[in-house]
Amino acid sequence: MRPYLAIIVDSFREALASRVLWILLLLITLILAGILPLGFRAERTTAILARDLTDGRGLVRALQRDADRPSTGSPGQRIWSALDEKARTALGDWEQVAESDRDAMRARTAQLAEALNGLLERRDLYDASAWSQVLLGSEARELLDQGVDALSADDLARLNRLLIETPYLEYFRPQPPRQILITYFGAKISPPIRATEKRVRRVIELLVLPAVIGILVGFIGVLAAILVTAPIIPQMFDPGSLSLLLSKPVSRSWMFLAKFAGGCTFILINVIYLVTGLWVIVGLRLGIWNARLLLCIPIFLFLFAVYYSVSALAGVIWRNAVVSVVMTVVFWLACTVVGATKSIVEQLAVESRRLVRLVETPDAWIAVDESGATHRWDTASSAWQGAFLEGGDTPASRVLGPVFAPRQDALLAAREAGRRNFGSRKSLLIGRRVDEWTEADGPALPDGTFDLLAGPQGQLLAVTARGVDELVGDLAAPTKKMQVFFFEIPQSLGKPFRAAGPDTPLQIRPPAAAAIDRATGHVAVYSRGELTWLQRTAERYEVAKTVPVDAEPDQGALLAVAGATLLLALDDGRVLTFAAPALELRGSWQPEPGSQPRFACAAPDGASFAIVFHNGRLHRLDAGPDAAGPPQPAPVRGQGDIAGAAFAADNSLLVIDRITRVTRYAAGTWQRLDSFSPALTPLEIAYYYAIVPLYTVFPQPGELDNTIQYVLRGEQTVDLGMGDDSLQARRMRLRPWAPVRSSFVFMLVMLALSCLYVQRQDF
Amino acid sequence: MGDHAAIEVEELGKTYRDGLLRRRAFAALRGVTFQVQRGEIFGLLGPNGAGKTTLVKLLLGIVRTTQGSARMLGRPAGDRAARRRVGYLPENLRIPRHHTALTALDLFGQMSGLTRGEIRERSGPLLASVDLADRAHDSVRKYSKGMLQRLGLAIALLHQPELIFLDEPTDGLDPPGRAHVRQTLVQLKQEGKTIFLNSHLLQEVELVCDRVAILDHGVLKGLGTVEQLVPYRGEGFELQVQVAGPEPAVRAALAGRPAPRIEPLSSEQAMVHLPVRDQADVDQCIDVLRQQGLSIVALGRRRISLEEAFLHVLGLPAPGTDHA
Repeated sequence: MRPYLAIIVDSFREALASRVLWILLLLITLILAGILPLGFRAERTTAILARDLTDGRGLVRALQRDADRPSTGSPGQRIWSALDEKARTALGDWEQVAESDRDAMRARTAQLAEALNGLLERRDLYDASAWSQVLLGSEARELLDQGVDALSADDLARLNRLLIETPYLEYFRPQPPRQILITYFGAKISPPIRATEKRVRRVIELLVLPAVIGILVGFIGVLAAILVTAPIIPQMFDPGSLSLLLSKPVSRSWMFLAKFAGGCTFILINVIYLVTGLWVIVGLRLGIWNARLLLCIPIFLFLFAVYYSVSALAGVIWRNAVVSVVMTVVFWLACTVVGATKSIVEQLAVESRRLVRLVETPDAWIAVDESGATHRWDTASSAWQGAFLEGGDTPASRVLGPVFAPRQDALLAAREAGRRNFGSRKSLLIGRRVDEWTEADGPALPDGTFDLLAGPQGQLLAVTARGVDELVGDLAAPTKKMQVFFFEIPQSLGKPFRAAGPDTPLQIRPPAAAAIDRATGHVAVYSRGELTWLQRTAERYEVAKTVPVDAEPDQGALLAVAGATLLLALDDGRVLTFAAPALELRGSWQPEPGSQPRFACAAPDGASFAIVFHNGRLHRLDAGPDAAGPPQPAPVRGQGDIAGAAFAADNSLLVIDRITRVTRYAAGTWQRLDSFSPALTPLEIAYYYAIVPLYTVFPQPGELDNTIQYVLRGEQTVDLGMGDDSLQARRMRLRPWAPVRSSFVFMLVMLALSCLYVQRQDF
Repeated sequence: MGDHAAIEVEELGKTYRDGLLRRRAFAALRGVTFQVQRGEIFGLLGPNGAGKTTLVKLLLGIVRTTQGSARMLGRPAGDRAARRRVGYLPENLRIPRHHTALTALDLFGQMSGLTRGEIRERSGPLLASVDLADRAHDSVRKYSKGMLQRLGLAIALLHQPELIFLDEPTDGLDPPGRAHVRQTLVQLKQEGKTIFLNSHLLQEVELVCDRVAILDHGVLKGLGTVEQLVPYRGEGFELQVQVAGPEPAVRAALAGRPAPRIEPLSSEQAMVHLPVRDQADVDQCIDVLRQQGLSIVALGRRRISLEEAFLHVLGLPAPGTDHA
């Protein structure tokens, strides 16, 4: 080994003697020095931003209404009277502004925010009698206990904000008590970020850092490395030195490989410096000490080695550094084109059409695809045909459902009334069977509705932040639409929903999940680390039991109820079962490490659960009282490509795979009963039989950023960051090892060809 | 080490192929056969493009044979074990620019299988012997061509090889440098090393080589001592006789003489160039011509240069001749 080690050591020596290395190290130092002053600091959330207000005019109305009441001592009176006369006049004219005049509406909102901010420094804002009817939070109470006069300016501003916000919470978007400011050399360089420090750190760690490293090292770094190292192999074939090298008692192939390793060594020095530097800076400045970041060093070295193997082969054959660089860039482009083609076809034509949910109706299965569009299986044409189509709205605005409500003999779904930012008001969409599922507008849903369930008698239940509401009214009742800004907010004239309990309202905050036992109508609700069992008695719900669950409060979750067994699947990949109604924990497993559950459902007979994971795998779990678990991969076709599953009324299980294929399996035996399998479209045929095979055999060095994301996160599926943190929202599936495998095989082939050429060539 | 010769070459041939389909062929060596005995300094002479470097590369395994066989130190040419016992100074050597003399010795020494301790131990005296001791730590970028050549010689000798190939070792050296190399070769010979010297510098070969092979266009034109290959070199001269008589008659008259060159001047006259050793030899030549009835028109004599002798062996015309 000595001769080959000597060649590698010589590469070190060559690198150290090279000006290029020092220039690269200097550039890296400059980059690190540029990043070093970046930081963030947390400060109390005091100032009211225009975007904090969900409905500025509503707030002004409420303040005016309270101020006009004859009784004394309301927060509204105090706040309104504290505003200066000019502001009161300006805001009082708000009613004259047309909804459609967006600029004027926006200006008024900003004016309101400014006027309210003017109150933050006032030591006389608080009046004990005015706020006596308001339940102030612990933070405000603690500040008040210190005495308003004793508070620092910062504490006073915080207290006044809480005094303004608490009585009118519905007009304010919830904000964390502290906000984050991005700083450079200690100076603010960004508007306040209303997120917890932990959340900001996580975003930096999981999104910003991989992106920065991917661009800095994966793109710029590798490009520079290829340019810098391209001459190494051609130089080896310089006739003046090659004969001497080849006369030595060494293997030509090993000598070439040692030279190749030497080139990698050169880059290794740079990558170690850059990544370690980043790691230290991110650790010191942002408090993120993620040792996984250091694992990026071998990944980037590998990424470079893959490209360098192409450069080396070109260098061996043509012995010209320029040709080496050109060939490497051509290879890079080819990889990018293949990867991009697959990605584009996948995103535009495959993923959006992938069926993910199935709803059983008396005469047909309704399927919902990834974009939210609904389809009905048409036996005559053996194809999924559009059904329950929306007139004018995009399917994406449908946020809950659809569910089939037998009592109404209709599909019911919820539509977001305005943008998500404008509160949680939703209205029903109705598609009656008699109308061939044609969609029609329905009444408004109760405030805070976060799930729709089909009740035991076929009625629709809306699970809200306070409890359960039941649809009792006439769906045909007319609705009034109120214009708020430029959105139409439906308002019911009648009251089609009645509160079904519990008497003491729940306090559910997102992320939350609910599930119903079809037989008994009992409902389970999970929210922020608490699991609640709502027992249905005489059409009323009462809390039977609430238990804490060992989980981060902001984790999304899925629930399913099968008889007396409750399944809770968490964002961290855990699947837990509880015995209802006592909610005793029966088991906890992690069936698909690195992936999260996407859908969970229970068989109507209560015998089993099915859980679909974001990595496309389906697990089954026995639910009977004696079942012990753990979840097992279901013996169905398409494992790894499964997008959804649903139990039919006869307890058979329908499984979606290969974009639009649905297969029905018999309960217990897993025998294939039938299949709704439409013919593949030409694009799907091209995808499955041309693009995917080509992509599989083609090296994918450009996709090693998936590996980096996986290494940094430890998770195989990534929230697409569309603002929907629900577990059911599509997540990007990282295939961390596929690019490693394909690139490694490719690199071996390149090196083997180079060795063969070197071995057989006369020099 | 066995009894076999240091180098054994038999019917050795090498044809290079070129072009897109490798259809263009060029024969660099054709049926070359010779042996180099252990302990001798063997010179391979020939003009540029004769195939000298190809022959060395074949022996070292840098290129592959297409015909015949070659063995080195009892093992097939190119064998890694044999290469361990061989030193090589290639023509136009270039040492990578990041090296100093010491680091270059370190790299190539380790590639020859030496430990770093052995390299450290030998580097000092070796660099002193090639007059580079005081420049050992300097970058080779600052070296002259002669210094690089001397460093190359040090690299070739570092692992104390039994057989040393030197391809144009005095190229770029000044006269003292050349003398130094010659001394080194003689010293190596005294140490029992076998030296294979590739050169087109006849004087150099003549001064140090025990035996010489002459290669031209890939064909072995002669093998033996310098004296055997270049008759009368050193003591002889060339007799130039302008003869009146038909060329066939002249040719018939000189049939017994070694290496005559006959230049027809007209149908009735020819110029005869004859290497002769001494005056008795001159008399004998004249007698032979006269006995055949040929008339002597003019007579002259000129000393033979080594170059002319070499060209003579290659069958090439000598540059302008003197007429008495």
